[in-house]
Amino acid sequence: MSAAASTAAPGRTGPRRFAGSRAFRRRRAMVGLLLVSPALAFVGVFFLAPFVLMIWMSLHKWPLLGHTSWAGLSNYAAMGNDPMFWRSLAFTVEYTLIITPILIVVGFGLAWLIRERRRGVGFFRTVYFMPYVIGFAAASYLWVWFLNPGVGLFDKTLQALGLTSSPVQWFSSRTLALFAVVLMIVWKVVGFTMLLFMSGLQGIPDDVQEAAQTDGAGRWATLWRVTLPLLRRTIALTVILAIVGSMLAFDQFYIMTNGGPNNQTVTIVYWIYDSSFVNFQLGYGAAMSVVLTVILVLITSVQLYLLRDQT
Amino acid sequence: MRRWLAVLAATAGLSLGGCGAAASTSNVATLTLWARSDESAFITAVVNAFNRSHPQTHVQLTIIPVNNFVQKFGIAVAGNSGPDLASIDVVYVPQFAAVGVLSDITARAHALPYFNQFDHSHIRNGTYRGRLYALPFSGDASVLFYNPELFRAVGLNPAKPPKTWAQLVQDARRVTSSGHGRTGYYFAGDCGGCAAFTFLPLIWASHGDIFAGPETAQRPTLTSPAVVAALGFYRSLWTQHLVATAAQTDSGTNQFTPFESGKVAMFTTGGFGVQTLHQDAPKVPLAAVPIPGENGGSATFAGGDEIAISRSSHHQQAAWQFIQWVTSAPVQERYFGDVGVIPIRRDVAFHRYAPKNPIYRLLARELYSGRAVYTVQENALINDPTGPWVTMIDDAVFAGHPHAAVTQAQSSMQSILSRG
Repeated sequence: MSAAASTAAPGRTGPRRFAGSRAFRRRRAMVGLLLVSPALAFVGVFFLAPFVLMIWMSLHKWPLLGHTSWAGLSNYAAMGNDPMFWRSLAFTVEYTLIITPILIVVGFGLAWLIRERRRGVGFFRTVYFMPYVIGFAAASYLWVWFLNPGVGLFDKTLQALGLTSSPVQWFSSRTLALFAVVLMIVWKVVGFTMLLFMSGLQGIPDDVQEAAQTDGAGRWATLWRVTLPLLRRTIALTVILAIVGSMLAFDQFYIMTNGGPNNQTVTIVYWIYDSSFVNFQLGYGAAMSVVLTVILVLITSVQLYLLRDQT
Repeated sequence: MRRWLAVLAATAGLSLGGCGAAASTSNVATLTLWARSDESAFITAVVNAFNRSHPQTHVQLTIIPVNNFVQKFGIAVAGNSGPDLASIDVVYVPQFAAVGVLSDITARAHALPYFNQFDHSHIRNGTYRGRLYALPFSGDASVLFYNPELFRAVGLNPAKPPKTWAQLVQDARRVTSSGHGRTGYYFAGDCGGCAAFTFLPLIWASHGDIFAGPETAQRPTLTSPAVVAALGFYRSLWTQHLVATAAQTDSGTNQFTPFESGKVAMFTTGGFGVQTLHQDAPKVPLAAVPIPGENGGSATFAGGDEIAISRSSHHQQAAWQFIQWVTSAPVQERYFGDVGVIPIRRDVAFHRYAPKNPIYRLLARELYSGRAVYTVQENALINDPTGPWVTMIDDAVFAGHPHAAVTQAQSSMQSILSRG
């Protein structure tokens, strides 16, 4: 009865309100669709369509110049017999594993140092962030000059300090070449990581930390048990950005090491570029790009799962 | 609203007016010309001179960075948006000719009264399956440059430069052992194009080659004794410290710097190097001899560019007119020979360019007796920094694994050639 009463009451005005609500919802949905349509069109034109085309290309023998022909999965099968594919993929993973923790730790350290508004802190924030606004190509060329054995800043400084007696050939060994690129990337990118952490740190209310300290937590305990857990989302974001960026590394190796010595610093994107635009095998390059996309999606999914907000 | 319509009408009127203006000047054909950045020193003057003397045709020049020329030109012609004319490095012409993006100019070229004056090596590289797709545009030749003053300073006779590899090693050793940071020889060790230009002649001069077979069924011959010996020769220079250490990572950008310092006695480069050295290091004296073979003899890489018309060009006739003009004797003399570029016509090269100085005489002689690498996969095989040629040199000369290097490179090159 009460149920009937409760449904009867709106029943009088129900049809009109229901109709109005449905129209309103439809209109709202239309407006919503209209508002997101530029973004949808953008994603459709600049991501989905090229991605579908890339998959289509990967199923063809597609030379840059000349006729294309159906190849089925042969481009994918060819990766199995291509030592450079595996070598470049392994090197890219190694580079990512090296650079990501460095970026996170150094970025967090810098953010920690300059998180509070103090005299002169703005200067350091600007200095640390400034390299980020330089493009990768320009930064790479700048560092090629820094590291030039004849005229570079590094060797002159090292020799002036008596640390080396002769110019260092920075790109003559795999280790030195990788070290040089890592150094350049940390210099260039860490400012952005710092900025993300700074914003995360500023989002933690002071009273939370004060409460922890009132409860007897020391500085390290507060950092480990309060600050870092509260930075979980920021950490997730920086880790994802660092890993995806590193897995897609190209410019710095193309310009600084040329893939050398002896092809030991060729990244997977470098090899995709080489296969597509030097060897003119667009189909094979597209197949490798599809595989790389799948790898990145998997890595990002695992990361998001592991770093998900469990509260 | 009315105001908007007025603006629209005015815009349409302006557009139509613009169309009218364009129609009134439509008799001027605009040709696009792409050239690699290595030619920027002289090509602007060439184009300006043509535009001044041909009011009915306007050539619009675009300089492409040398390391990206193949990619940019390839992508452009694949999308039918290539230039009308392209000045292409001789080594890349067979590849573009083979895929059919260049116009067949066989009949028109053979009808030129001076066709026989052209450098034969350029003509060979402009030909694919018996048809001609490009004509010579600018010439170059690789030779062994040396510093006669440095030779004299260490007790070597500058009138007796090395004629064999053993003599070169001996002279290099004398220079290096004299101290003062001097080294006997230099080469850019991480540069495929440089190595083709300067290292390949060592193999040719020793009666070897890196390819065999006809143009449509080439096979690599990297495991042949001449190739292994040439790699061994470079390896011995490297292990005896007769080459500056910067060589290992030099992608060609610093190839002149050691010689310009006056502390390197010998290095191999082309005619373009003469201008660079005179300009950057005018006090460093310069002499040149042919690149020696293992036990004598000599060889050179006949380099430079060819000029071709894109098959998709809508200005075939105007483009051909430019080619005729640029290969004419007065143009080759004034805009090429007079600025130190070897003319691609025998008559101009030997009678107008060569008499100017002994190095020019040598360069002209070498170009017209030289050869270039011919393959439809040059970029992937030779110039690619990650390709088999560069990898082989790196592995054999610097890492010291000559046999593994040639075996691996042979297999990689075979794989690239077999995919066509």
